[in-house]
Amino acid sequence: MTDSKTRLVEPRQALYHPPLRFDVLHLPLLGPLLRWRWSRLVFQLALLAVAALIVYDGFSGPQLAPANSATVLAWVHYRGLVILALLLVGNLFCFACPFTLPRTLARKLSISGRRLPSALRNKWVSIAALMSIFWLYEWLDLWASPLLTAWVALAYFLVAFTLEAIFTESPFCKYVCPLGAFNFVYSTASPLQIRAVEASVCRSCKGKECINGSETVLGCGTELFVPTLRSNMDCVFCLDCARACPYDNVALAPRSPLTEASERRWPARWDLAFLIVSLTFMGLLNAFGMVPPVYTLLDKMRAALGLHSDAWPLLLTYVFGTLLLPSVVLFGSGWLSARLGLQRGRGAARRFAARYAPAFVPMGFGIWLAHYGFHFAIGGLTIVPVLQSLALDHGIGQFGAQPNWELSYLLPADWILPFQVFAVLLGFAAALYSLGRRALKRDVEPARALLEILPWALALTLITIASLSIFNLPMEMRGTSQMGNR
Amino acid sequence: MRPASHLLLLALLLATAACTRRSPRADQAPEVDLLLEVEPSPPAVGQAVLYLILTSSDGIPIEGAELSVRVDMTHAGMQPVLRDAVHLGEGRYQVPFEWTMNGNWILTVEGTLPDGRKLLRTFALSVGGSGR
Amino acid sequence: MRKITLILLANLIAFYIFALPAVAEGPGTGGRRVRLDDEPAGAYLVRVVTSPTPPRVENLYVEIRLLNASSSDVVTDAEVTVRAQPSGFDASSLEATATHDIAPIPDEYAAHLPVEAAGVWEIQIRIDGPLGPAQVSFLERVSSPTAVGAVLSVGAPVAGLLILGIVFLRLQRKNPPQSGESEGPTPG
Repeated sequence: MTDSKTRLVEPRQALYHPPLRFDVLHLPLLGPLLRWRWSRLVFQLALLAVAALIVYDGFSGPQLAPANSATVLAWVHYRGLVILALLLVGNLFCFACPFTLPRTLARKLSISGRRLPSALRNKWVSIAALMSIFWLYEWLDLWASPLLTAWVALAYFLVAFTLEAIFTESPFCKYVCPLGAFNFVYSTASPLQIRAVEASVCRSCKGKECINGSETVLGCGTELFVPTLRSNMDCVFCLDCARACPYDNVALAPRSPLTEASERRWPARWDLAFLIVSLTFMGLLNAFGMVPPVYTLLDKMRAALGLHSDAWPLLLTYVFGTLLLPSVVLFGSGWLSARLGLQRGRGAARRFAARYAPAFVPMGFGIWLAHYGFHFAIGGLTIVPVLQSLALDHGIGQFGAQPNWELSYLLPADWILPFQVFAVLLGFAAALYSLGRRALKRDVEPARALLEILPWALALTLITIASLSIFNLPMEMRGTSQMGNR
Repeated sequence: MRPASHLLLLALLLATAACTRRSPRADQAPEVDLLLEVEPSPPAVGQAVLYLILTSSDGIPIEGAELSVRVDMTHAGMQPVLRDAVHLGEGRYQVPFEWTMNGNWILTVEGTLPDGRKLLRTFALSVGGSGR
Repeated sequence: MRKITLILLANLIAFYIFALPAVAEGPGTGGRRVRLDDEPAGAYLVRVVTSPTPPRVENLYVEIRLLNASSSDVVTDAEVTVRAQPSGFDASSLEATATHDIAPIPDEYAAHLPVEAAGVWEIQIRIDGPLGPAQVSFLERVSSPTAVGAVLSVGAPVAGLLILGIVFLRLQRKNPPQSGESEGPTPG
């Protein structure tokens, strides 16, 4: 009953309530397994065993990259499988990440439980970490060194443990880990996403266990709130929210992989936009590092700088390719886009960058898929003889008296370049589609919208031309350090 | 402190495994000279012939050794090439070969000398240039 | 709106599917390839290396090393001529003088043969030097030019850009501006 002084408040519309088609968490067999309290731990322990193998073989095994499981697993299988997982499912590596396993121990040792300083609570640290790891990868030839690969794995454990011990909010995952940054960005193009089943259930929920945790299950480590989740960014796919929810109101649901790139509003943050664009250029540069022109370039830079080492030439190349060029593209296109869209004033460039930079997600995805897919396709089966050899080194002959070094290709060699070209062109097509959709949602005439997206479309076109040219060049695998230029 | 004890146990297991791991095959004849010649030189993508010239420290050719080569690129995931050497005489052993890609290669020569000692040598080679 | 996006997507994907086979020719293993390995020819031993791999129309380089067959000394003062003759098809033969100038190794000879058609060519090397005349030959398959692949590597992306422009300009003609945004709150 209401009186004249009581205002009847209409129920608020759900923040986000698309129809739920099906829920992976309620599929037969798979659903109960994923919802099982210890499922994540089981997968993490499996990857911990792999990490332990990488460290072990990296330190004690043959220091020849094709013959050591450290380098084969890290630089062939991890890279190939993570990109395929992101394409077909979601952020499976973060789901099974072993680097956060010592988190429980770290929390027992937790010094203050503070959050990371606000100045660091953004993506700039992970961008710097990404640039650093790619530069080290090229300079120190991590891909050719089992020992250094093992040290990288150990470093990940150490940094993750240290940050978890000092700060809350899973700072390693959310703000530092370069693998996580890569996975977060490209999981925004994955076909599965966490969401609430019924928004009304979340509205009436008192405990908010999905983020606060329950008696038996921790809440979201990266402090994402399920009813408002519209993106896979920062979601580590741990499914703790689903396990913690007392109402079984959390679903893992399918969606169009281009939903986030083409429709969703992204936060108007330079760090996020820069991460997306920079990762695309990192993909280009990582592929460029294996073709003849890069060695000519490094030779000329060394000669011009009067150096013997490749450290500085590589650093300059990476600063140019992953910092300056993306900056020009992002800030330049954002500014130009705003001007062409007749939008001025404070923050206009940032808003336009946030609107259109997500189109680079499918572009970068295509480039990384082409590169990582290439290595996985040509060397996926080499793990078999490597593990056979490892077993024989320990007197275990059940897997063969001799390693079968004939095993290598997962795909016929003739398929690989067409696959790469297809991946890049599909990424480009999806990027243009995303740009187009975003532009058409603006309340402007199509001709004006076209002008707005023109700088971005031109940048994407040039990136596509560059990547196709790179993948069309013959590959040369040269270690700069092996040439005495470290 | 269960997680710590689990980690400690894992570390101990790895250390134990490392102790039981067979040592890398060692070169039992360090005084023996092994010279590698590659034709064509400098190496180029395509057919090639590797010559292994085996001599004692006195320069006397060593005949009758059983030699094999394993040739790897330096990047993980690349299939190695395995070949047995053919004894030509006068300490020369020949390995027909094909360089399939430009880049850095590691050539490992393993063998057994006539006196039963094991031989192990590694050579690093660069195939092709950085373009015309 | 849905129809427009479907048309846009379908056009883009269809174009790339048709463009793909021409783009995906590939450069081969690249680099140089030994074709004759110290082949006896008169008083010489001739090594011939061709590049790139595979050689392509208008892009075939031949490098020649001459050795004195008896002393194994490198011969650097001969006149070396390279001739490309089509084998089993119609095309103009081509002849070039091999010189030290463009050889990567200064003691060797090199020539550029811009053959005009794909197919099997007979490459003849004629030597006129201090040890007398000699000749060797071999067959070389020349592939279609990467120029086609290169044009499409540039053309396919540019075409995508043009398709985007055409779609928007057609929309400009047919559809009124969209009425407001519907993107909802920010994620995370």
